[in-house]
Amino acid sequence: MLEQTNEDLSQLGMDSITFIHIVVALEEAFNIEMPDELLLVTEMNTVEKITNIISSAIINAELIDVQE
Amino acid sequence: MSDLPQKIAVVSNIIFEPHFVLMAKRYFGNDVIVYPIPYCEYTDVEYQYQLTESDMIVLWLDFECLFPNFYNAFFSQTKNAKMVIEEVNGLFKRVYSDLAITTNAHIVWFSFEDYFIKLPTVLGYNYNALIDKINVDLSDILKDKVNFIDLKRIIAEVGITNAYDPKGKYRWNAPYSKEMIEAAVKEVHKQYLIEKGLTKKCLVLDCDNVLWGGILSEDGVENLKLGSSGFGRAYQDFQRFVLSLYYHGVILAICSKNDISDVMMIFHEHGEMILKEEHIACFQVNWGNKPDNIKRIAETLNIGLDSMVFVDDSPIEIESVKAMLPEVTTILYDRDTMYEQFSCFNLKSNTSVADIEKRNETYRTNQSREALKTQYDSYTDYINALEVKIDIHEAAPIEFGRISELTQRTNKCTNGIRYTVAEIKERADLEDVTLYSFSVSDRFSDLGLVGVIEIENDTLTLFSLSCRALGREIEIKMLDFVAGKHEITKIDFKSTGKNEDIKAVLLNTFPFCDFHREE
Repeated sequence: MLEQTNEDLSQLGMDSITFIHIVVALEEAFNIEMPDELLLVTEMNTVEKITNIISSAIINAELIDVQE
Repeated sequence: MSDLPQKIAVVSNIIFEPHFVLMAKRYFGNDVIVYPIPYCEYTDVEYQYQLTESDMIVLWLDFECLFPNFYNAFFSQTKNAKMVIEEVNGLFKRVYSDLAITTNAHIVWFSFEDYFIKLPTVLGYNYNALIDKINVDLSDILKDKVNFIDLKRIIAEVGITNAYDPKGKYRWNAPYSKEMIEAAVKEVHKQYLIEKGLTKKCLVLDCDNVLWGGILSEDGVENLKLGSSGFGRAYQDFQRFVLSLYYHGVILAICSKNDISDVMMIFHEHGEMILKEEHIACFQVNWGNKPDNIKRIAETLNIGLDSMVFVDDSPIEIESVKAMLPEVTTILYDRDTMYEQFSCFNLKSNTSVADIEKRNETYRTNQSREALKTQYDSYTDYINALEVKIDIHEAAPIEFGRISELTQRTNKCTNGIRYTVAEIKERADLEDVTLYSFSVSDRFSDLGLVGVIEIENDTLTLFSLSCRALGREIEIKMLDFVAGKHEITKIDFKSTGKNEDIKAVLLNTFPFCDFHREE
C-alpha cells in the first residue's frame, strides 16, 4: 500500500502495460486528455505527479470550454 | 480440461491493452490469465515458460509494424512482391516451428490486413493482391495446424472507420480500437468453443413459412413459395444455409403440423427443395403439439434436449416450447435477423462427409430396427437377429479426429473425459497408453467408428460410446474385450450429469476397482 504520494510506482509493480491501463482509466474517469509528452512512466511514476497532471488537464479543458 | 481457467498467451508486435484483458475476462470468465508476449522477445526464457503454460496462443502480427516500407519498396520497384512474400513465408515457418516445439496449445493465428492503408483516397480501389497473396501462402503453410483467422473479415464487420484508434497507435503502438479488439476476442472465444466441441447438435425445423412460404395444408402445393427468385428465394436460401450446417455435422429433424404424406411428397417431388429426405434424421409430422414432438425427436435420436435448437415462424409455438422444454434453444424465424442466433452452433470446418452420411444413415435405418424388435419377444434374440459385428483395433492416427469428436459429443455413454485432437495425439505417443477404437455394423447399416477406450497402465482413462450404437449391448462387449487384455484396478470418471447409467455398467464389469472421480 502507498505510504506517501511521492513513492515510485514502478518500484511497486507498475509496468508498461499497467501504465496504459492507468492512463486510459484516468482519462475516462475525469473526461480529460493527458498531453502526449507526459505519457512516460518517468513522468507519471508517483501519485503526486499524476495528480498534478490530472489537475492541469482539467483546468486546460475548462479554459478551452470558456474560450468556445 | 475445459473447466480450468484459460491461460491465453498473445504474441504480437503491437499492443492490445487496455482492452484485450477486459474483453477476455468478459468472454472467458474472470479467472482467465492473459500473457502479453512481445514478438521480438518470445524466445526469452520467461516468455517461453508462459507459452508452455498457456492453453491457447494468439498470434497477431501487425504488417505495418513489421514491414513499414514494404509498399514504397514495391512502388519504387527495388523489391518485387515475390521476394517479400518469400521473406514473410520463411519468417512464419520459423515462428510456427518454434511454437510447435514448445507447446501443444491451441493456436489462433490472425492473417494480415491492408485496410490500414490510406492510398485508396488517391488511387481508388484498384485491386492490390499483395497482402492477399501473402495470406493465401500463409494459409497453405498453416492449414490444419492452426486456426488461421481472416482478420480483414473481422475489420469489415466492425467497419474500417470504427476499427482503428490513431491516438492509441501513436501513444503506445495500440492501433486497434476497443470495438475491434472486442470483435477479435469474441472470435478467439468462438474458436475455443469450436476446438472444445461445445456446440448444439440438432436443428429441429418447422416447415410452413420456414422451409417454404405459405401453409401447405391450406394453400396447396402449387401455391407454395419456394424457388430461386421472387418470394420463394429467401426460403431456398435458408434451406441452403441449413444444408451447409448438415455438411458440418448438425443433425436435422422436421417438426411440423401437417399430414406426413404431404410433407414427404414435397421432400421427394418439389423441384426447388434444397433439403432432401436423406438429410433429415427424423420426421415428426402430425397434428400433435410441438413440445411432445420435440421430446420424441430427442428420444428417438438419443440426443439431450439441451443440445437441440428449434426454429419456427410462429411466436406461439416458440413460447410453448420455451415454456414446456426450457432446455431447448428456440429461434423465431426472421428472414434477415435470425442468422445471428445460429451462433449457438460452434462447428469445425474440417468435417468428413462420409462420417456424416454414415451417422444419418444409422438414424434413418433405426425405423427398420424398431420394426425388427417387434418381431422378437426376447431382447437377446433381437440382438442376435441384428447381426451386430464389432471391429476392434488399436486406434490409427487417421481416426484421431473422429475419436476426439466422439469424446466431445457424448454425454451419456462416457466416463466424462474429453479430448482435443492434439491431446489424443500426445497421449497416444506415450508408452503406457493404449487407445482402442470400436467400429460397429449391423444388418441395416454400417455405423462406423462409434466407441473408444483408452487404458493407461492399470487405469481405464477413457470410455466413450456414441448414443447411436446403444441398444446392442456393445458397451458390455467393449469392456469385456479390454478386461481380457488388461488388468484394470482404477477407473477415471467425471460426471456429465447424464452418465450415471454407464457408471453403473463400469462398476458392474470392474467391481473391485477404485473410482477416481474428478470434480
